[in-house]
Amino acid sequence: MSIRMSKTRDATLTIDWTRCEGHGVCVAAFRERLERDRWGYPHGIPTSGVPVPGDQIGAAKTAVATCPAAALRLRLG
Amino acid sequence: MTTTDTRTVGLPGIDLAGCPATVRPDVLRLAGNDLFAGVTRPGQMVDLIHHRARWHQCPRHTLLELAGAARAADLRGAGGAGFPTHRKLESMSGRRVSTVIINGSEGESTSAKDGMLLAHVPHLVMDGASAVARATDCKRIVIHLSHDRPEVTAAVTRAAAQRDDRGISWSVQPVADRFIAGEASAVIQRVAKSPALPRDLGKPPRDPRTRVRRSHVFLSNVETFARLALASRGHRMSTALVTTSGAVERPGVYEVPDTWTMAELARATAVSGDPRILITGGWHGTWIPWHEVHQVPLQRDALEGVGARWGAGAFVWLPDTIRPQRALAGITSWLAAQSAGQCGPCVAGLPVLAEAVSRESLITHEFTDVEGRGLCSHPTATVAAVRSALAAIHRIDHPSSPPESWRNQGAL
Repeated sequence: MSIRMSKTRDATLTIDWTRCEGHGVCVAAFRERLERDRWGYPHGIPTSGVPVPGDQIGAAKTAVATCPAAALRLRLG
Repeated sequence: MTTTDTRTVGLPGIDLAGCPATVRPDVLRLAGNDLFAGVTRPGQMVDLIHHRARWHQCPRHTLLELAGAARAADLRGAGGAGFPTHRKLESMSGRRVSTVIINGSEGESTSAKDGMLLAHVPHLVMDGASAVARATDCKRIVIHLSHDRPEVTAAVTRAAAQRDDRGISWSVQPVADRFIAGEASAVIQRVAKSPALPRDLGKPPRDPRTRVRRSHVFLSNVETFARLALASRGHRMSTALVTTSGAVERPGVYEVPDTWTMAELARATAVSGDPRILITGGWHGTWIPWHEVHQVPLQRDALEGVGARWGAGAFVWLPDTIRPQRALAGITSWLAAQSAGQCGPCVAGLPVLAEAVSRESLITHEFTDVEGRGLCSHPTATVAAVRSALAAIHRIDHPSSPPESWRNQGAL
């Protein structure tokens, strides 16, 4: 996942629920905003996505990059 | 067209111990002056020649004129979501539309209105689709149907053969019936020759990334197209189209003045016993104590004013012979089984919710584990229905408690 953006811009983290397999890796990478539910799926990602402030973009990028199911995306704005 | 099943008190599609499921109420009970004008007996299809004698040719409109007519008539998508039709039309402006889809899959077992429209007045529905196709320079119209209603397929096939729209090809697609198969993105997938499962196609204009790549699909519900056909002729509509079932002796489809109250509809459909709960908008809809809703007119906004969903205009009177908790358990289990099986929280969470409902235990995380977590609205709509059911049951069991107290609790 390569994203060009300045550190100060906000981004939005979205999930494709049809891909998510509940590995829970994203939760470990992005504890600031995500929680595990009892099956391992991330809690805290509404349909509209999670707004990610500039200082958390690094953690969000790690979550996107390490998801074994490639279910997460980070979008500008 | 009559139901072969003589059992009248039961829930369409939902099996409960002691109260077996009834079939979809596929019978036209009352033809009104707008949509079913000219239909004098159930099962009679209005042929093109008679249809034109009554309504004349559909005037040729540009897309924006059509949107203006839809706006003037305050048309809202009649499949359930209630999206303003004029906005959907406006979103197609300047885009290439490859296919217009008439969504007649009607996966909701409490609703029969779309099948009855197609069986009786297919040309009115087709006029609406044809008007959109001509306004967007689209050459292909697909009519998506449920394969379990052969009489509907027969009428639509016959009507399609009678059409004289120049340059438009009609195709009729009967597909396997499934609750979630009627969801808009699932229908678009199906037309694009993929399985009928919900997909992330975004809001209209929809772009199915397959065979019809980089072009757009205009999909609407059967009733919406029929009403658009009337609106485009400047006809002012004043009827509601509803389907009744449950504790009623005359279940079926009614086109009645929209000034009628729920109580008047209850008389027409012969509600039996003393039902205390009405379910509005089908299995994804709202449970509401009958005494809170019986004076409400048959209008989407009025119903929403008392906190109930119009949905596809399906109304189920819960039989007083069934404990509401038991009916809710059966309905929730059924909804859990309707999951398309694509999204983890829906697959894992809905059966847990259904189990908690059947145990009548306190429900807390079972809601939040599912709500808002899935590609389509099925899990969220199911949670909303269960919440409203528990609230309605609570209000009936505790009539003296302050009316607002339950709202903030969510669960009991």
